[in-house]
Amino acid sequence: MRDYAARRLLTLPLLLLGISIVSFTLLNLAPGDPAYIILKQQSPGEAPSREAVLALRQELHLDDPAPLRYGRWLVGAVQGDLGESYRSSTPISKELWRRFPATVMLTGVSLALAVFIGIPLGITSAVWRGSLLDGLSRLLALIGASVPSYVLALLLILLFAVKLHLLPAIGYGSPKHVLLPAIALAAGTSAQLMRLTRATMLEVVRQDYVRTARAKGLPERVVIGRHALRNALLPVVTVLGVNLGHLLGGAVIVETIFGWPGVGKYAVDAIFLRDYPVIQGFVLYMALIFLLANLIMDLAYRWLDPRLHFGKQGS
Amino acid sequence: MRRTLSRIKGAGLRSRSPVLRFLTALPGRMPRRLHIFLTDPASLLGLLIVAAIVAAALAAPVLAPHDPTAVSLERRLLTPNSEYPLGTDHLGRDELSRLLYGARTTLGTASVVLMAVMTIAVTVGILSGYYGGRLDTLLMGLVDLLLAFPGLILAVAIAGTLGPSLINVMIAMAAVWWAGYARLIRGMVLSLRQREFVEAARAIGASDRRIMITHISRNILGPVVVLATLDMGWIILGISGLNYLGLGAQPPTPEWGAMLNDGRPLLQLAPRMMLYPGAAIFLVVLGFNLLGDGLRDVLDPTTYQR
Amino acid sequence: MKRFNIFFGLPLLALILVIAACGGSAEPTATQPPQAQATPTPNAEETTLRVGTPFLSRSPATPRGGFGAIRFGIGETLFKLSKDELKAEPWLATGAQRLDDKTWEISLRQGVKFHNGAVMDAAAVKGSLERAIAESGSAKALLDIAKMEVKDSLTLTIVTNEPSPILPGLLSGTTTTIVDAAAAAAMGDAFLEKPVMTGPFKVEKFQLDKELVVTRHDEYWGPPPQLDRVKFIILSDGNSRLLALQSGDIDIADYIPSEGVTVVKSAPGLEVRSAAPVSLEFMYLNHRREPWQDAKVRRAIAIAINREALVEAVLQGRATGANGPFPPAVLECDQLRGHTLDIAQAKQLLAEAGYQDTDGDGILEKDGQILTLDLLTYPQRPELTPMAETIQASLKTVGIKVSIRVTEGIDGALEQGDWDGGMYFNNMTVTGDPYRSLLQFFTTGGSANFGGYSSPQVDELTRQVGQATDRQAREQLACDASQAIIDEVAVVPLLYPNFNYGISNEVVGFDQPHPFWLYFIDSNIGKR
Repeated sequence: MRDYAARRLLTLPLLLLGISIVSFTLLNLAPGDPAYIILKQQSPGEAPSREAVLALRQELHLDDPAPLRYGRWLVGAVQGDLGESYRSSTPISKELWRRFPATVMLTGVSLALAVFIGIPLGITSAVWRGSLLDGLSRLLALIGASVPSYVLALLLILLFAVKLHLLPAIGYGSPKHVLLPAIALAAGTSAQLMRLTRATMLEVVRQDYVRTARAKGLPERVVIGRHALRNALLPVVTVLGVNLGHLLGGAVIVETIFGWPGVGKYAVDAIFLRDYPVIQGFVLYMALIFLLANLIMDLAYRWLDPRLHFGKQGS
Repeated sequence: MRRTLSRIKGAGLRSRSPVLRFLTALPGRMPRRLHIFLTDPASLLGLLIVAAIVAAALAAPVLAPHDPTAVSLERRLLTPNSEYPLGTDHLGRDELSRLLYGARTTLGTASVVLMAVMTIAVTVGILSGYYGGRLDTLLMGLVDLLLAFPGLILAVAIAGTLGPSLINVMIAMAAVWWAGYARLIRGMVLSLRQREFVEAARAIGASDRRIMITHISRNILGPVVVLATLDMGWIILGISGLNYLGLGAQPPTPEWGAMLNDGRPLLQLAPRMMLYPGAAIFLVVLGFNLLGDGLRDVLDPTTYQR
Repeated sequence: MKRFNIFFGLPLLALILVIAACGGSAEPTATQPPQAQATPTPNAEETTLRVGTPFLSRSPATPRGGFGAIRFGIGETLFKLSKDELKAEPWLATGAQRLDDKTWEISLRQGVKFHNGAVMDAAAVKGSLERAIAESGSAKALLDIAKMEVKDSLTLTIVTNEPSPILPGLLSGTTTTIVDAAAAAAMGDAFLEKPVMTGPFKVEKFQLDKELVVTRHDEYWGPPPQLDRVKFIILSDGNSRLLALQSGDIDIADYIPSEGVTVVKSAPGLEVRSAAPVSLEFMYLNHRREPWQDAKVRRAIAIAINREALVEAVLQGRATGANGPFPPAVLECDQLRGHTLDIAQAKQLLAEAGYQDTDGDGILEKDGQILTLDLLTYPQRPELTPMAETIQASLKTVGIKVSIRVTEGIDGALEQGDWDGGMYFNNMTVTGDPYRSLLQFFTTGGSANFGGYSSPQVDELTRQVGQATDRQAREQLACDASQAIIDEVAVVPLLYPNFNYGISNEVVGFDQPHPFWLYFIDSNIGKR
């Protein structure tokens, strides 16, 4: 297992390099002049003059050939310097770092909510299959899965902030600020988790080792809790991993609506503004997160199910 | 058979309505699993909902009372009345007609994307999980690349170069979405690979291909179907999100996601504009999920064995 | 040994993440004991105004961030645009005299103190302008300064490279915000977080994309600021600004969409403020493509559109139908003949241009080609898309088939040239003079002339506007140019949209906002 982890870590830089090249190429394919767009955004409603655009293009080295620009970026990136944003002229690594806590907080709280609601509901649903609890849970899960997060966010704000004045509509800082955005995000994930947990639990409970455990006379609680659950949670772990990565990329729409200063909104604004260095930096950051999350999840897989072997079959 | 069913605590045979009792008493040998499917009210409901929506979508030109793109500014934001059963939108177009035609666009796009995604994901997942080794590393590396790459950038790049259209949306989504499923399926294949029946099949000399196609596919079909049906909703919402960027159905083509977006500024003034497409999406998701659950019970060969 | 149960492990991990994040980054709230740090919590007697705004994307200390500096009451320029006529009027300068073609003598205001207490004199202004020119290519191009001389402590002479009849107006440009350049040099990067300028408020705290907190400048030269503190929260979604206003989390919602106006008007405790519009929403036509090269076809399009309906239906009445390229608040012309709705006339014009509906499908054809218009629009300006859809319906009645394409990069798309029509929004009051707008949009090869419109007459008139020294003459020439633009249908003017604020009724001193949204926070605004 250590070898496996080591091998995966070694391929990490290669993957990051590949990803950065792909994104750089794609960015240069998408039409749009960053200088023009950014100048227009910073003096809203004014069409920038030709001189202003040319001056900014020069300042940002936009007319240098693409390989040169990529090379320059790469040299900086390896040393940890991701360059400066075209829009705000501030160092990108610093900006990503500054926004990271906000995103982590939102991710953490919403995942915690999803896990605490989704998984237990999934288990009880599977164990008491066909009961009213099962039906209600499934209905709740369906609602959670089919309402878009931005609709839910707006509804939550309308109810709790505007009508009831219980929670703030926007902002960041205290626990009450994180609650509404986290709920808006958690709905989808908890629905996914609940459904998946239920499905895999149902699969697993039919397996032989569960019959064995029951035959041994173990109490049902132990059968479910120790034996069934561990294996049922394998795909759940994968889903969590994917969601974790996705959420750490920033829940863009929710961040926008709540004014939550996270990483996702930073990235999306950059995409619209063609703020190339920020997008490059964000792609790198996302890649890192995903690859690390996947590695952890793969290792968790192996830990959870020691029957799995990696490498050629029959080994 | 009954004992196996009751292994799950609290499960009993589901109640049957007279209609279902009649159906199941039909002459001829009906496959056991189909029987189970038809006697489960939830599955039937799901089938009914999906069938109804699909039928409505197909029959939209006949059912829709008005032209869904007919702008009529004097009749904007009318509340439901006899001429416009669901009222009109911000440009005076009939909401009901837009919903019906929107079903075609939304369901059609989502279905194509789903099928493409699942096909690619299953192929990659099985190959990767079964053979392992270098192929696995390569394919999963590709998957990692795709998962790590923010889909939005890809979407904007595609819209910028190929142009905004429904087909390009399908391409963009399919190209990105298969990765997560591939990974999941690979995981399932990995655990299946070690199971006895695979070893047994190999022992009797079955070829790799046969094992993959018959044994492994059949075993993962159940979970894959569950995933697919739940994700129908995600895909529809994803299409709606991309619509905000200008990718996808161009105005004034009706599409549920676009209608959701259109209704956002009117959330407080005319909430029904978000309610209708939202309810429609919810119904579709509900239907597919119920259906998927039922199908899983039918298609999963490990269920009800022995 | 009992194995670690993952059922508890995962949520525990998540919980740890949450606690770590909360503990590490939570900011103090009113219920926590005050801690010694850079941001003192406001005490009960201090009045704090909270504004939700989308308009701050870089430090106001930079030339490109000057828009934010002026808007939020931090910085000022030598001249500002007057409220009633949008003409250059004294601000940090008291007057300007043109000595010759290329030389202006600027008289400065006495008693202006920077945020750090330093006195603003001619040397300081010179230093500030030099910094702007050095750091911003657009400032350099805008002002075109050859040299500056300090004549005495309150008089600065500016010599430009080319004759510059409207220099005072140019000195209202956001890149020319007056800063204490010496302090900027001394403070280095810290200046970006705490710029030293002259406005009624100085920066207390600035966090990019999150918030900006300013406190009153006690030595402000103008009327004493009514507020102790203003907190700007960056909210880029119009809906959430509206909801935040309704929930009481902010006192002013900066720029709300027209549907939001209806909601605010019916809400108790909230009010709407709008000013005379200074911007234009219009439709570009691609003069490089066949059907639109025919003036009759262009005219037909222009008169087939019901502007009043657009105003009522799409903008809930918060706009005015557009006659020409300049809103009356920007350029007042008598007797400007705009396009009046006339469907019959439109049909006739198209018939005269040789288009007929030969196959009876309602769409006109000519030489076997159907008359279609590929219309671009973009989501960043939400009302443009329903407007495009309405135009599509209107043009269908005269036989033109419109297909709409939404793009999130409108300028790039327009530049590419693969379109027939393009929806666009633009502020027509930059520097308070029509010259720049005419130059950019309507002269041959203008930087925003995406449609390729070319008229020697308009080119000549614009040139003359650029050279005229008499304001009356400039305006008359600009009006003539406007009329030509209207008659030739260079673009199809649609409407002048209002700029709307939503405010709580606790806000005072903000009864009539400046038509140009650049001027927003000043020392008059207060809170009950």
